[in-house]
Amino acid sequence: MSNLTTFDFSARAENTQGATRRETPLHHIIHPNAEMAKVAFNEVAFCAQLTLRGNPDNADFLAGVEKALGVALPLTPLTSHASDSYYVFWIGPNEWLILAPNLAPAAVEASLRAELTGHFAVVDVSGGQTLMTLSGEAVREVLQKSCGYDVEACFPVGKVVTTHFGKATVVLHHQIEGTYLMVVRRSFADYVWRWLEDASAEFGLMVKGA
Amino acid sequence: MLHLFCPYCQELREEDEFHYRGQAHIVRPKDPESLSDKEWGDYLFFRHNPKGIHHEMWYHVSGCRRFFNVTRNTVTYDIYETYKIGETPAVTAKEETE
Repeated sequence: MSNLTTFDFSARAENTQGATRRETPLHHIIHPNAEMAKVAFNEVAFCAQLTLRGNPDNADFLAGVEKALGVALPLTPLTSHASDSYYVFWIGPNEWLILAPNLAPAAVEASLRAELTGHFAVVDVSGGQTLMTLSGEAVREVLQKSCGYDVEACFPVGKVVTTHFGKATVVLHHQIEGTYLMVVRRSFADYVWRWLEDASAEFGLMVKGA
Repeated sequence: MLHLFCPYCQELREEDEFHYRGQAHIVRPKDPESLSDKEWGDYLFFRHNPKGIHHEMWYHVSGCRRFFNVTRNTVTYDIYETYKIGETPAVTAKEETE
């Protein structure tokens, strides 16, 4: 190896080529300072995610879930319920997505299985998808660029929609005013990140620590 | 671009989120063994191709992942109604009711 102490790093930043603009191989990842970024991204790593299916007309099923999670299933389309430990999203008329950022998926599954009987399904899908949060003052503009869904007109806090982000199918949730949760399939996660990086370039993108 | 009202999500969504899944209300014969080849062939392969009102299935593949039915005019692309599987359409073509 060469002796790095003798290498002149300042030559890299200086444009020594006259009118020709020099670019490093990674010039495209340079983003504005965190203070200037108008879109903030954060991956909520290893969040417990479970798909629950059952008959919403079965009172025992509804009561069992409420007893296990301490939060009732949202029965109105495109709504969600939240507690200190759980988010429960309406996905379809007999399907819900349970998120538990601070719990082990096996523990959530066990607590549901302890309370539920009869015809139901609970599947740990934590390994198959990941959870992201998007916030910042330009987050709505980025979502409007990326989703066909009308995020500005019909997306109040608490609502959940399954829709497209770029070409990926995502579950989008308006968590608190100006902060959105997005559930992305693991095989689409890199695509969504690259899309987001490009779509938010004009606003400045900041990656927040977990 | 069509705008379809998903009867399960209770919301208008863009066509991108849906797949078209062919003619609706095709009933599988209760006793396939007793059918002639022509009747079985009709059930399997032959579909209406009307000019005007058509009942068809759509799949909300990038949404709630449910099938539902749409009454659509194949000439004007007007969508008259969307309804859940198992329900009967309110709008029907004249020759269907006669």
